[in-house]
Amino acid sequence: MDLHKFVSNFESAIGGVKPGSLNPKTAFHSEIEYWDSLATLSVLAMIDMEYNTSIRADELIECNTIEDVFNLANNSQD
Amino acid sequence: MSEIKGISYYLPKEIITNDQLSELFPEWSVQKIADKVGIKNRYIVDNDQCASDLAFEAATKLFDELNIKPESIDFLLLCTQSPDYFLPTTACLLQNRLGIPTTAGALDFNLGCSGFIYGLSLANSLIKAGEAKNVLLITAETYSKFIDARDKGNRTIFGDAAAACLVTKSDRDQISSFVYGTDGTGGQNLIVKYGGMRNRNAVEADEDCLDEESGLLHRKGTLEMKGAEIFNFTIKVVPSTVSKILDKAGLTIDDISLFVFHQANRYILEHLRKKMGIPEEKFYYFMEDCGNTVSSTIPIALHHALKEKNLNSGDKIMLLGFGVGYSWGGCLLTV
Repeated sequence: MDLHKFVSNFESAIGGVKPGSLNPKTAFHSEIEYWDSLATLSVLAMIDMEYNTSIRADELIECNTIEDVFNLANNSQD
Repeated sequence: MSEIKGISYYLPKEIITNDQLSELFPEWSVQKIADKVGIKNRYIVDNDQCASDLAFEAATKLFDELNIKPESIDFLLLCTQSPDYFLPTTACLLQNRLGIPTTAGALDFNLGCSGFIYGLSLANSLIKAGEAKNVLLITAETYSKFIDARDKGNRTIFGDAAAACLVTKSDRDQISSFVYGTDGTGGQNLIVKYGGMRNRNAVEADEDCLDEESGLLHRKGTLEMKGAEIFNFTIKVVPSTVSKILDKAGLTIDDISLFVFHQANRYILEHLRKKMGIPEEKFYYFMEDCGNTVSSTIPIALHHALKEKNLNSGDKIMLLGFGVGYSWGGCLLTV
């Protein structure tokens, strides 16, 4: 899995952010103003569709940065 | 063998529009979320209205539309998780109110979004076993009574409704290829914790608690839904259940004319549809005007699909319900 491609997929999934405006260190819960439960769901949907794997919703909620989510998804593929 | 003779449904009078939700929650982008979940209106009961009232209206409408008399019903199945009372059984009260003979069997069963499928299976089995000829299957929910007024997420999604379906003895085997599934490990992800016997402390039920997923406060005694966990559950079980039904019938996705799934919300269903490669024109949606009505979404959608879609005799429709429990199930209908 490629981290930069993951960030770009993350941006597309949640919508409403400019392409390239997020990076691996973005603390998405606090830095994305309208972050809500539907955004959480959108990220799970993206991981399922793009990487054919799933991560637990409670683990995603506990993640701080996009890179944390990437690591969870990456590990779940192993 | 059995077939569905007709389906009618009833929505309560009070409508909640997206504009009304926006007024109630000005800090929230209701329109954006409602667009994503595909819901414009939902209807909710007033304080005095219960599941049996919705069920009565739906059944009366069905009797009128099919021009049949309540005397012909020999079994009544009511699917509800919001019964009028702990006891007596709501189906027994409905037997009397609808004028169904005292010789009829009647029972409630407690399932949510999978309930219509299980009801069809029970009706089909009762008829095949020679125990009944005309089964009235009703799904009726008033989830609005479970939802905290501050819970904007669930208030956007859920609506109240009842649907009535007549399943009769027939020369043809219209309902087939049932597949079931149950996984109680997901029980905590969609739950009303108070009101039953496990937690009888009414005072505690009124205390506030925070939902970590949505960041919203709600009273402990109200409905809790971990939407993201439930999404994970659906992406796991729905595609595999579709495959199992197809395998059982010896068919492929191309052989199915229409897919009528539980109308959870449009976002989840679109994801599942794309994941399974089901063409858009074969995937039926009906939730814009009434939201997620739990066990009534499939019969309501099926009622409209049978009218709107130009289906031919012999065409196959796949029905699939999934949700609270976790419980899921699906089957095929031959038009």
